[in-house]
Amino acid sequence: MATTYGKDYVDFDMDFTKHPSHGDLSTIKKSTAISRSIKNLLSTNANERLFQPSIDSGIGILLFENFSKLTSSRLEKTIKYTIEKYEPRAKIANITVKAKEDENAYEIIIVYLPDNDIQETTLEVYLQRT
Amino acid sequence: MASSEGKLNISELDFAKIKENLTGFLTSQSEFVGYNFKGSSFDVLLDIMAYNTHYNSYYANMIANEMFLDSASLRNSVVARAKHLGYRPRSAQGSLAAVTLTITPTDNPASISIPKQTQFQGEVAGISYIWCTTNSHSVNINANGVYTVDSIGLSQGIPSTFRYTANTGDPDQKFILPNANTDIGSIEVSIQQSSSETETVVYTEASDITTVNSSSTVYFIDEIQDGKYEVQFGDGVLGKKLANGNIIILSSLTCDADVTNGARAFSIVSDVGGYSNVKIETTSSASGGAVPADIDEIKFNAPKNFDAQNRCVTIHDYVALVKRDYGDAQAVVAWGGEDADPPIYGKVYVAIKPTSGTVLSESSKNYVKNEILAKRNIVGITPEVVDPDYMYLKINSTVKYDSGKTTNSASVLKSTVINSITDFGDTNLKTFDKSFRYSKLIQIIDEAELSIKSNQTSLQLKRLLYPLLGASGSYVLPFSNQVYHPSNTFWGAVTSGKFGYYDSANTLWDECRVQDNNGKLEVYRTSGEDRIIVNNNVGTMTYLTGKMEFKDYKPISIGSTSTGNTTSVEFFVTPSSSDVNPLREQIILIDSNDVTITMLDDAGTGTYVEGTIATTDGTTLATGY
Repeated sequence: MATTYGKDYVDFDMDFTKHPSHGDLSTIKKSTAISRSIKNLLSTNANERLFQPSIDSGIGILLFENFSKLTSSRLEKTIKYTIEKYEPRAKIANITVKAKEDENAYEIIIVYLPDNDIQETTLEVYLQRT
Repeated sequence: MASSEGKLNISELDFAKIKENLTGFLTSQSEFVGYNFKGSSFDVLLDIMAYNTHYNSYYANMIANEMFLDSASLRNSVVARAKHLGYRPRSAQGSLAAVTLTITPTDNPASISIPKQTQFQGEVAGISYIWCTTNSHSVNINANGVYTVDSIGLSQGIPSTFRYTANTGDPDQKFILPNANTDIGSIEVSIQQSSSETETVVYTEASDITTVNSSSTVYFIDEIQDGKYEVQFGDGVLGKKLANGNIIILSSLTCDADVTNGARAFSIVSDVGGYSNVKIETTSSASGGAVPADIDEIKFNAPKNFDAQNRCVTIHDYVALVKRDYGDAQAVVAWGGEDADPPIYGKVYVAIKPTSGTVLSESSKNYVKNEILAKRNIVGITPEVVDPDYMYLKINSTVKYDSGKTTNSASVLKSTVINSITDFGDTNLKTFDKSFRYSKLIQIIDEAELSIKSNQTSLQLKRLLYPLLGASGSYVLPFSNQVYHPSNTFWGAVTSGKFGYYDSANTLWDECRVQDNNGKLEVYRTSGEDRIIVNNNVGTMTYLTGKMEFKDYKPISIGSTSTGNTTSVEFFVTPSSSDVNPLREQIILIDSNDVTITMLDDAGTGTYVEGTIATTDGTTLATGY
């Protein structure tokens, strides 16, 4: 059976910055690539992707709900569902949703196990209404 | 199918397949590994690349489509492709009418001049439209002391004039008629030498370049984008070239196309030749207005026009050119005089079924004959435009239905069946070369409503004869289908409507009819159940060809009418075959007044109707039902 342990995921940086030494396009690797992928997914709303209108994190609409435990719970479930559906490289260990009512935002802490590593990775995402 | 071994498959056009190919290609390299996950940055890049590829392939596909007449979908492209075949699509056409003017001036002029484009207004469906005189006229006082001019041609449209000053230093200068619905049949092109020289020269459209030389004062006209028209002039070899400073004057009518057909009453807009006391009699109501040729029409006609080469040689050429240049033609058929009955050599006949109405007005016929056909046909051949010959189907149907399966009453069902039959006629008949198929009709009746179980349907052919009352005349009614006449002793093949007729004792009998007697046509009257012959020979009936010929037929009255030839007598025959075929200019019609429906409720035990036999006038053989 094929294993992904130690597999080196390589993606390019969405910031399109130059590599400081050779000047080529900067790349991101390993769990950083996976974390960036998760962030991209969470910031995708329905109909944003060309010819793939169904790709939707479902978060956008929840951010405009009233702050409550129910909303936080729904956010957690939505994030979990999105990652499980679109990001098979990350195995979710825990998702913590912290409501920041004063800032009209949520702080999300996602702990996951990359499929190419034995160390869990923590990803913090700050979601704010815009 | 995705690429394999690092080769990129480029045959796919669909977004998903293109992206799949790109992903497949990337599996063979190691620089980027996260490309096939939905959230990766590379996936976003692949989306854009696939979209761009898909966009370009779609664009290239559409360009290729627009390059060919068969696949083009934009009108501009279709018009441009048709131009390669020498075909200029028909422009919008204003309807034509003819009026007789009687002017009562306040003074006594020697003559009254009516300029071209004198405006009149006519109303259609509550909306007023403008008509203009197509030519100038000079009216002299007649022997009765009135100023009358007969049959002045009016063309619908609002006149407009555009002026351009030629600039030979500008290679991109164009002379465009910018109005939509410009009737190019009304265009007048004239050239004024310069702003200081007011004399103008009228240019004509170049229709035959073999006769055009370097000094020919001709113009060329083509449709360009968005239905506008561009006028072009010669290059000094093919047509006279414009000089710098020439003033080009383009006049035309902007028409309202087919909506103005049918206008019957006209009035003056301001005055006619300076006089406002004008009596207007409509000689010919407005007809011939047409919208510009649509895409399907251009695609259909352009290749055929190319075959015709703008000349009338074969009968197909006549049809193609009439369809191209006369917009109000719903259907056209042509035949050589040698095929006519009786043969008339040296003529070609063209029958046109107009979009509106049943026959063309005389002015429209003359336009088709003189402006479209006579200029392009072979020397020695005379084109003749004739009316379609309408033949009617008289349908008698007994329809069984199950009242337990419908909430509709018998009268509603009857209306439904009649509507289905007339719709069938509108869809499947009503034009040239459309045969009537009996089995299709009875199927339509059966399917008219869910509760209808079956039908028994008989039919007759009906033709209308308009005899000159009180005068002996010869008439021919070609039914063009074999008439049912199984033996020499069979009678009742021909029946007719009623008319008044003198017998040999010079007694006038109303309510006479025509019957056949083994090929001979007789006029009879009835006395109780008996038929009494009024005239034993008014013509012949040829059963094999369906040709009914009257000789010395002299009806005196039809109903309350006893003069003229505007009232018709109906004649009926029963065809041998249930299918009916029209010949040449014949068109078969189904009129709702000729449809007789009897509804029978067949619920429960069912209903039986005794059959009829051919023993009385007008009945047909029928089995019990």
